[in-house]
Amino acid sequence: MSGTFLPSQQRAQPRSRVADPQSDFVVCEQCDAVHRWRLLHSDEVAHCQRCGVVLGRGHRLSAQSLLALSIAALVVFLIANLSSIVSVGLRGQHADTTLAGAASIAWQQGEHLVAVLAIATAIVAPAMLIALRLLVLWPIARRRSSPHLALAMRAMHAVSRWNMVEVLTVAALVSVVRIGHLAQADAGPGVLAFAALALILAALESAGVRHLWWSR
Amino acid sequence: MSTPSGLRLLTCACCALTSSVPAAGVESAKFHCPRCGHPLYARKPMSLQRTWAYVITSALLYVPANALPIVSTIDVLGRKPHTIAGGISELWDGGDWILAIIVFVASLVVPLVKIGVLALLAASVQHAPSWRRPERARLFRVVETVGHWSMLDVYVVVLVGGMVRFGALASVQPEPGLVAFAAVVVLTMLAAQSFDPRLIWQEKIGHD
Repeated sequence: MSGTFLPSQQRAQPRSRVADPQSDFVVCEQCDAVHRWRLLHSDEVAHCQRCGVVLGRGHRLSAQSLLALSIAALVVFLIANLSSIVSVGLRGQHADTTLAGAASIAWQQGEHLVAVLAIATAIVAPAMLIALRLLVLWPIARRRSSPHLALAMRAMHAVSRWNMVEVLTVAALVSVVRIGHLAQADAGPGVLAFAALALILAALESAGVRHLWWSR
Repeated sequence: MSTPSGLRLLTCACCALTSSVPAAGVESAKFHCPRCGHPLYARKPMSLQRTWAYVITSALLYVPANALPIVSTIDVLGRKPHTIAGGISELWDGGDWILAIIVFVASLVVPLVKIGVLALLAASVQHAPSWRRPERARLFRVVETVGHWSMLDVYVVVLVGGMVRFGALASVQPEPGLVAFAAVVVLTMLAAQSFDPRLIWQEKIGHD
């Protein structure tokens, strides 16, 4: 039993009108069914008995492993954003473009809303997910207390649903085919890096961060 | 759940801490998680109203998103506008069947199914509260999970438009339908986030 799922002694002072926390129960956030907490093994997933939603997972990765994975994500993120996604050639002319470059051209073409949306969901959201994890995990992995933990955790919770790197990866492949109809197109190293980033972020997402509250 | 002492348990969606809050007037009260500070609601505020507002707006925008061209290609033969369906049939005719099916599902099927399912979920809370609850709960989770895949075509236009820039020889321009389509994607995501799945399980509206 490596992962602890049970919130232990650590308790912050109540900041609001909420009464004394009761840690023996978990209330399903999708149907209000009440369950008793128990320890989960590292490969166990707890589902709500009434509606079937995932209530929690046993945690396989320590803070150190999560930190290592987050650093890997940062490196792959930088490669993905600095290298070309598609290189296009037509009659001797040649162009390599990154995602940010393509979005800034969409901005120049007057598509401000779409450009902002693409940058927010494919660059800013994954960047925040990685940066916030590094911010939280760096001190915890070194057994120090993490400043701004609550704020960082809430920000990660809010941002995670707007991360769409996996969709961008498929879109990059579709783009290569689409451009192939107009000019000569080759997939650049950026596509591979985005695919790797999508996988690492999915692994980080399923590993979760909630347990840092009680297992640090 | 109401406890005998007049307290009600709520688990924080962000940090999973379970707190007890006073049960009286809990539907409209706003609490914060004592550990992480995330808002703690017994029900998402104005859930059905906001869901309906987003669903109706996205249903209206779905029409221009599909009727108007989202992109046009310029080559030596001139300028040619493409709708979403046009782009899919070009992929299909070009022999890229797998990509055609992926784009068809992500761009046409997913937004339509999302709008339909969220309307069904919101309507059934009001009109058929006890009908097939486990299936409705599963339907909500599916819609929540697949929703963002509709962004596919938005990214494709941004990438293709940013990369094919050879002036009159070959270039690609976004068209007004793209904004409408991007708005449908964002609004259906907001609709799913506004809907409170706990409404599926409550016995009577405004009381449980």
